[in-house]
Amino acid sequence: MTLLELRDLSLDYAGKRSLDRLSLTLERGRILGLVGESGSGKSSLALALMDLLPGNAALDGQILLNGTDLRAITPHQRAALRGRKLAMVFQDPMTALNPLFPIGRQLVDAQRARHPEAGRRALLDRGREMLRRVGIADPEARLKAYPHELSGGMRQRVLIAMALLCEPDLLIADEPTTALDVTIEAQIMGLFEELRDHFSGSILFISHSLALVSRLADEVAVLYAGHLIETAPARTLFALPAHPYTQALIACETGEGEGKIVPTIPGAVPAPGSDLPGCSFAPRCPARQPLCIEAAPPLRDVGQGRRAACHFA
Amino acid sequence: MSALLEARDVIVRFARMVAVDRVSIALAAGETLGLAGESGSGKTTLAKALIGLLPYQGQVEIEGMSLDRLDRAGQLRLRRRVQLVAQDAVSSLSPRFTVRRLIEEPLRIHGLGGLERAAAQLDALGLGPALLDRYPHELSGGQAKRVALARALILDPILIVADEPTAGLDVSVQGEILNILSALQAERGLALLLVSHNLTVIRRVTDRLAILYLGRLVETGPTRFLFERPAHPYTAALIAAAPVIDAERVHPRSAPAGDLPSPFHPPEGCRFHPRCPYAQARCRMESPELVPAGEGRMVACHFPLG
Repeated sequence: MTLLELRDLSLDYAGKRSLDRLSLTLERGRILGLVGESGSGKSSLALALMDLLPGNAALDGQILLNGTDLRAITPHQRAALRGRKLAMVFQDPMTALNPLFPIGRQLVDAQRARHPEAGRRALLDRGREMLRRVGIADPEARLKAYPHELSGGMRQRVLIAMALLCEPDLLIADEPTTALDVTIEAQIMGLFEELRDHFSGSILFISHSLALVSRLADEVAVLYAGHLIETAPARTLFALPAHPYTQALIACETGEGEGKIVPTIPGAVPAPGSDLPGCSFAPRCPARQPLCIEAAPPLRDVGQGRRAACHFA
Repeated sequence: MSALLEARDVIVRFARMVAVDRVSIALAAGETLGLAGESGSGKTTLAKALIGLLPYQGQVEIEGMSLDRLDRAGQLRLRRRVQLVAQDAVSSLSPRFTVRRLIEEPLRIHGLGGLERAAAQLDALGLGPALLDRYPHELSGGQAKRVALARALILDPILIVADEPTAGLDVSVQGEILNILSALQAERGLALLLVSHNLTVIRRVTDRLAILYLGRLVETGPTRFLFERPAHPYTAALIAAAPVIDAERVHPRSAPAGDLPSPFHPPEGCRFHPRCPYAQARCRMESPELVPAGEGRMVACHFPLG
């Protein structure tokens, strides 16, 4: 069953195209890994889903959650989804918690929308139990702690606990380990891997790291300069990447090259609003043909469950 | 192989906190040494002390000259021969200078001619002359890194200390910086001290590796051997924690339990023992010394892995 469907979703900031006609689905209980480099539009997409875009953003197309177009409902109804149907874990755990309140109070507040009738004590009990489930030792003491008293890894666990307490249909995690050390990242990824078996909702896991996504996601979507350039089941994407960009990105991340030479993708991502007539990756593509400069390739079925936006995939 | 840089028992303190604790390390001409560890391990602090940018106790010699015995002229010469590329390239560049002025600045400071070489230096790093009249805020992260590198290279150094040269860069452009550094090394016999938490980068470009934990060296040796057969449990833990593409999910990615302890109150005995899966009673009591372990390695562990 489809939980989330994007239909021709486009986003412009002050007339500059940031997301271009994205169509994508996420099934219930599945994990979608959304991969892209800086400027690809992946965080903008998360904010669009949460209705947290800045005022100069213009959205077009449809966002269907359980079949309801979120762009067609009232702002009040839309806001009511946050903390009930939708929850998000942000990139920087240092700034996502309120420094003035103890953890317990913040865990209680996060559940108010979900459980408006429940008392403070009951919500605190649920908070304590969830802290324990996300691997926080001595949860009782942590409920009384302020954010600055916790390490970065512990704060990210608190934020994940907070999101899970909302029992959302969709959990959006936007680069949840980028601000953490590699050892702590491995711990937090271990927690997400456990969620795969214990969380009934769907997860949109956004990352610049193919390695993280490869181990977690059921499906992977690759964004480049605001275009969806490839989607595939995770195993297929890494075994048989169809788009030259996906192939190059995998080579960069595994770092396999000649001697000390590290693979790179020459050039840079086109600036937002460049409006290339052809494929957005063509200027950097090693397999570029004249057609690639002239016409933008549509996202099409290329077999084995893969869709790729490449004339020659 | 004579050492270009040799440090013995270097200690760096910040007030009551010992950030670097009796570290001895050597770097040969033309060699790339990696310095790895978690944040708070003291890698940047050590790197800065080694080139005289932080006060330290112990001995550091560069080209046989003790750093603390240099006169003013000697210090100026050292600062020309040894260059730091700071982690945050954008904030290391004055926002009020154009790229041209930024690259010429080191030449002016050292009273050297050849200001016209700025454009050639940029070109050598794959940046066009159009960039010369731009300001730092107009540069991408990768461009800013290359401008910072150009400023270091224009003085023709013998040693470059690169602090997290790939941090904050997209994976598709990280390689450009690393390839430039490797090529220069081959051309000019440049020595490189590469500070990084990114083990993929370390494995790719360094000849030797030193692993720091809470200010102490826990293992040093040829990079290849450390990755193939880590002797210290912390080295093994860092390697196991590094993210690798694994869609078949056959390689378990494990992490040492818990967080890095506070450097203000480091654990007694071996500093890694509270997180070490192999810790024994002795590890809690007695701090292990760094001792030779064959294959050109040194390990500080009572029970090194086989």
